[in-house]
Amino acid sequence: MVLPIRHEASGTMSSAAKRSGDGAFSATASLRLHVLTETDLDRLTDRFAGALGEHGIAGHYCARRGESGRVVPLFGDSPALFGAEEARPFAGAVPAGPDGACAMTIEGAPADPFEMRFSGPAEALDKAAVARLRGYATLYVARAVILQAKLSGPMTASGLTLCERFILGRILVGDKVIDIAGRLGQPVPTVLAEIADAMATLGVEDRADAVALAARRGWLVTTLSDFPSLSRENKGYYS
Amino acid sequence: MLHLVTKDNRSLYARELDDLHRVRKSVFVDELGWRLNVVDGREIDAYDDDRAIYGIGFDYNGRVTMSGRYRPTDDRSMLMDVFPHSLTPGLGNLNGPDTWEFSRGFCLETGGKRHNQQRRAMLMLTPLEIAYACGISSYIAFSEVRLLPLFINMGWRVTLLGDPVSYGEGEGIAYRVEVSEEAIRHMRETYDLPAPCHIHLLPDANDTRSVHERAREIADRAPLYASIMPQATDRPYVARSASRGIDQTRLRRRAYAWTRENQYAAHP
Repeated sequence: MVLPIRHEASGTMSSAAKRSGDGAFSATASLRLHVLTETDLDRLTDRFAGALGEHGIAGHYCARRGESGRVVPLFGDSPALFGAEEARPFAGAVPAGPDGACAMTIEGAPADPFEMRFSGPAEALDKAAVARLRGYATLYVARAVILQAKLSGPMTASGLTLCERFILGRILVGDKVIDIAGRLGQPVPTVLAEIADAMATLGVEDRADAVALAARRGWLVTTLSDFPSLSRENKGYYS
Repeated sequence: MLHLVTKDNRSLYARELDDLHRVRKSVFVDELGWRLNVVDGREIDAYDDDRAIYGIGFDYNGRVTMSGRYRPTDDRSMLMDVFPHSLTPGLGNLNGPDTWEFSRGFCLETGGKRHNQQRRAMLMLTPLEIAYACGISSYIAFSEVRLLPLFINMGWRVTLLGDPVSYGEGEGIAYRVEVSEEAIRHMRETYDLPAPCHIHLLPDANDTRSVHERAREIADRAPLYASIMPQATDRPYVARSASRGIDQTRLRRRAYAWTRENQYAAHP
């Protein structure tokens, strides 16, 4: 389905949100189309940054903040935003100063909350624009966390990561995704994202085709050194 | 498994439906801050009519712990009636004979065990199963934005129908959910769920057992269903009420500091 990229109800937009010119929110519309399905973290970050730009926000960065106050930087286009310890809560009603940073807390489920910092906005945002940005920030963080989680796997000569080859291998021997996720200690969505990435790399649109193609090329892996199937208590587990 | 409640078997679920509306009030009104119609402690709206279908999950003690409402949109829908401002202009009328609406979905069950994940997945899979069986191609819905990633992570194939808008104590967003054989198969395989993962019990004059006893009998006969039955060890959800924001540890620390600062004033 093709969605229109122009907000006809531009009368509800704040002055800051109109700064892209004629009221067209092409970057925000692009984010709407891709924020749930983007497969590349850098592209996703660029799309979010583009939508923020249409609302007068020049940069952003997201970190996970633990209860102890320890900050783990995650993703975004302006890491320096976490140089300053405190940032004004993001409300939109009052514009930030030239060097001002705003902070928004996004609930993490089930882990610690995320803190998103923005450089700006340069002008005050109305309630609708604030809700729009808060909503997209929530969706952006949820997707980006999944994409970032699967970046850690080592790439192999096949073009697949070792983890992707392993997951496809376990599917071939009959494991369910929920069981693979449990044994890898990763959430199911991360494993699903790995499978989707493997399918894209292999140029197929079905999970079974990905397994079959990788199997024919001898790329499947069914054991990993730290996989529980090799442990003493799982002797009976197929590996 | 999830219990499907339709106009054909509502007589079996009188107590459970009453419990459902009370839980909905606590979730959507008390916790999420939605301004909804509440009658005698129950949240009930105009879409709780004969055409509404409920998928309800119960805990070990038979109390409602998860639910969703599915309703045809060939006459009306909450999204078009109440939230038209959340839709991208130009989409037209989203109601139609091949579209249902999903609403009032919630899950109060927590826990990361395989069994818990399966039960949450059955809540999301059942509406797809029943809609697909009725020849429906998609759902439309409006939900809290922060819940949408959870739905997607469970396997729903979602297309956004507009930008997030302010609603209740957070932001809401309109979206469409694909109903297809492939989407159902994908979820079923991922979470190793039986087909179907819901039951539709019908009134039987010769059967005086409760719906929970009848469900247990089904689970006893079919091992695949046993894994998605509630267990005594399932962790209950703690509602986020207005008073929950108080951190007891911080409160005690403040009380201790106040006492230290004022002890000389009390005992000069």
